[in-house]
Amino acid sequence: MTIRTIMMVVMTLILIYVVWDTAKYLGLIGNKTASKKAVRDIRKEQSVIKNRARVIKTVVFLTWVDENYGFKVNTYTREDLSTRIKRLNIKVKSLNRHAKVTELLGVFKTLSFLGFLATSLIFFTVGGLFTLAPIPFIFTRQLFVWLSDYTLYAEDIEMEQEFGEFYFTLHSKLMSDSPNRLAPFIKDFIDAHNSMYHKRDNAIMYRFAIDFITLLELYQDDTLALKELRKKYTSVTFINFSNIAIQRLQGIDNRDKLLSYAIELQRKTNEKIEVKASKAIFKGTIAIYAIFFLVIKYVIFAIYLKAEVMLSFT
Amino acid sequence: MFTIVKIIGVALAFAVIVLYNRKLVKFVAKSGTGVENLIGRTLGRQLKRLDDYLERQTTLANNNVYGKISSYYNYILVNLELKKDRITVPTFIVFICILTTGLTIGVLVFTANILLSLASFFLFFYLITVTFNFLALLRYEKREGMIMDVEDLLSMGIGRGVKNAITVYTPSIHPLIRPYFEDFLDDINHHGKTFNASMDTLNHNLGDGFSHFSRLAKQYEAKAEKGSENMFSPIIETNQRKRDVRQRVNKRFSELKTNFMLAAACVFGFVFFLVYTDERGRELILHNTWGNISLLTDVMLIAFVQGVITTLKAKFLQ
Repeated sequence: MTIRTIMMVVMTLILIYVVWDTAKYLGLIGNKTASKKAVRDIRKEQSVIKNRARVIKTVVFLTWVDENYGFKVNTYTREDLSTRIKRLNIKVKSLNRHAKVTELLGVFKTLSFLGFLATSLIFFTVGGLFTLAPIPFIFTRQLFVWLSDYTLYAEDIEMEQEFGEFYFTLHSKLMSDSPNRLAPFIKDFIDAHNSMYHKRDNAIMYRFAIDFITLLELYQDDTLALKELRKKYTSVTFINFSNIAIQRLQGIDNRDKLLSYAIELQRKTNEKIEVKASKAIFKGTIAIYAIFFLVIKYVIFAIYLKAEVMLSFT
Repeated sequence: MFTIVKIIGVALAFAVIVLYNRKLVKFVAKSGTGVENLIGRTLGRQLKRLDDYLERQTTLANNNVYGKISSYYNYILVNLELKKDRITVPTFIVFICILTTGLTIGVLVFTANILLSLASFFLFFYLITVTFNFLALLRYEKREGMIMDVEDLLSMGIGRGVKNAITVYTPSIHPLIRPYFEDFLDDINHHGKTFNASMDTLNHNLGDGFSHFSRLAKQYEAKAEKGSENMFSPIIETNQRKRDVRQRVNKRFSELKTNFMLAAACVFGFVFFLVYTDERGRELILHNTWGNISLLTDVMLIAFVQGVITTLKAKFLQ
């Protein structure tokens, strides 16, 4: 491709732009933005209404499946699933609420049924290893529990490392002679976090603080809110905190325990720094292995050149 | 005959230029200013719009693509202290694009190969961005140390209030970041800004490293109860540990970097050897478009790994 061709292409592009811009200026094209926007908004609203109706139908169907088919699930499992739904923030977006346990169980039962059906069909038609493919669908509930355990465990670890910052905002209040009414301190924590420019850090503690303040506003009692919060968060650090804090809120003088808890949290923060350093060094070492890619590439290239020379001799 | 016509033509043109010199210069100057104004107006308006758009996207949700791009370049601007000169993210990106386009045109003129020029455009864009990022990360490490020193100073004197502590310790702060603290005091004392708004500006100027302290400072100022200054005491211990770990990690990373650069030098030595000893190799690497692009990719890969190592080293404490 010569320079002349490139110049021709560039000139053509400029010409097209000039024609398009002039047509736009003269009002020949793109002059109906407002009406288009109105039409778009109406269509969007209609699609939202349709989607909502569809979701309601699905939800009703799933509840019906759970109530009428399969084995009945005991209360303990239902409570466990309810906690998981809240912690994993599983929402029905169109209805703007958390999913219900019956709906989730409806999904599991439907998938199990479909999985069983597919397994039987494949077994009697194709057979062989293909039969194994839909088997995981039969155990959807178990899979969900297993996967959510993994996620929740990772979240708990993160919470244990980040809990120190939250705790030290309450420490002075809990150490004082009147440790009740934690809400203003948690509100300050949330406000300070909300106005931050760099919001990404400490997200788990932010969510935790929001949950805490919601429960405090609901029950108007610090002890009750902490007890309710324990149902949702299973991190060991938080459980320890809630035990000590409940004691303190009930008037027991356990300030020495609070102090040793603070020291423990500081130790965890230090550990976190060490872990971060080790991870960075490990990743850096791995990144260096990229050079092997270049070495292999040029060795293959050299072999190719040699082979070409040898072939030309023969 | 033709030569005579040429000479007469040149003489006439010279005469016209001499005769209408002032008019010509005026015309050129006018048209120049007009074009400059037009470009400035159009480009300026577009840049302003883009800047507003990025700011809005980042504020709404900083997890989307625009937010990520904006925060990446904003980070470079903050650490290179270009914010003081009112350089925004879009203008910075446009600057890099112009630089890249210039270099690409150079490659296009030199090689007359459109595919290679296209590849070199991406390479130059990436290399320039990585270079700026590299410089920003080097500065970041230094700034991190300075910020930790400030945090330690302020935490020890927090009993009298955050603003008072800043007023007392401003002369002891490192000159590179001291202007931001002076601006903070100026905002409160002379511009009537609230403590929280001024602290936000200070945090925005100092970057991520100051976020924790700034959050605690706002909480402390909102409800300065007796004993609540205790919430600052872990900062001193954490910073002490961070300094210790930083020293160890820096040593380890300098070893890693040396190893990597030696390995890269060996690879390029091998390529050099191939090019100067084997005619076919020379042809394939230097006089073939795909060979050239492959060489550019190698440079890009080395720059990428270098960038990854520098980023890991600088930001592991975040």
